[in-house]
Amino acid sequence: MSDKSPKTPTPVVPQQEAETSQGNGMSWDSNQEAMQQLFQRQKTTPVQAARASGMWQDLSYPLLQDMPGSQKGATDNYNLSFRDKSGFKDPTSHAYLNKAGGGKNWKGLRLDHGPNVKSGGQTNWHWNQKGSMNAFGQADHALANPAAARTGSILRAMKPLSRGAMIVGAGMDAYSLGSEAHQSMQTGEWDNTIEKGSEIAGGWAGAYAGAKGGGMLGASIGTVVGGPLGTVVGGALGGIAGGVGGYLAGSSLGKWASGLW
Amino acid sequence: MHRLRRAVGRVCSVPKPHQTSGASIDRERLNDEEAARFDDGEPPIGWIAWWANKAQEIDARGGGALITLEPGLLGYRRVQPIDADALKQQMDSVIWTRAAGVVLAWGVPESAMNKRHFRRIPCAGAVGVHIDGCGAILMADPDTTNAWAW
Repeated sequence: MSDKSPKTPTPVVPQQEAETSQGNGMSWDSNQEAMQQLFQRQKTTPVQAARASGMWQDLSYPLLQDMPGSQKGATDNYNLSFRDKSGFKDPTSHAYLNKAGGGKNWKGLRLDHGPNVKSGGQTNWHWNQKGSMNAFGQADHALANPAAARTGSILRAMKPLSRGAMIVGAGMDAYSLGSEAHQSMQTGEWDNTIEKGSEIAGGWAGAYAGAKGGGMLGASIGTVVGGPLGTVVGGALGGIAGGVGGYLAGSSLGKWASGLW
Repeated sequence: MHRLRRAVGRVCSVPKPHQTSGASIDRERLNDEEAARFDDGEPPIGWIAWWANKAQEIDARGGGALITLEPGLLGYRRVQPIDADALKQQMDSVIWTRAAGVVLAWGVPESAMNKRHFRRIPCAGAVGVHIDGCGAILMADPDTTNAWAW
């Protein structure tokens, strides 16, 4: 008989597991923390304001000034938009100066990308227009200058990004509101949800009003400064800046208003 | 031409072998009045007349149809018998500036008429509008394409 104590089996697997969990546990925790911090940053008001301003491409901006009409002595009103409003598939234009009261048949000026009859069917950036020659001085199918072509390319690239940002922003705000509501259901205290709700509502209402106002102002100033391209650039910049500013102001106002109850 | 042909090919299923040909407005050949009209976004009178003549010609081939793009993301097409007034109205509309937004086709089966279509429409040949409404793309059998009077 041996007096040696029975050999205990070496706990190979648990040890490995322990090592693994010890080794990676710290980095997992820190990763999780970093992710949480990143997520919290994504929900902050300035980031959300930038996302909400993505609505600028979905709005239309009436120009404040009357433009020379197609008939001598007459004037026409225009509005700027960045999306095709006709509802037909595959639009090729990326900025529209729409003549008001055009009815079913569109009239105005648009920055288009596609085959151009005035350059032998070559695909390029050009202006297409109908009944707005006197207002903007651009002939139909006139080749866009490099600045206009660059603007068109930027607008085209920004379209999906702006809409995506807006959707993500709305989702983030919905999540924030849901989290507050969940917390309220557990505590029975609803002030935090009301505050968050009015902050979000104020933010989006402010973004809409700000983008609309900023775009309108920017487009009108741009028209005076730089013709149709100025209108497009001014409207875009005004819409973005107005959207950001409007969200920040609106959310602050909403937060303040919720405190009055 | 390949890119231009593709637009018409997406709308109409023309049996093989087929050929493609095309023509567009030449501003240099327009008179001053027509050129001014063209620059202001109106189609030249001669261009309108050309399409009206071709509509008659295509209708006489049998199974003539006016195929127009419908609103909506799916891009349905409406097929209707050729009508000169309807064609003229389309020339003022947004779809005239879309690639193959308006197509005149012949040899379209009666069963396809007066319906909305999602799939390609079978036909013997077709002429579709392109290049912002200033070009026409023909897709038909080689004999027809070679004999086509632009």
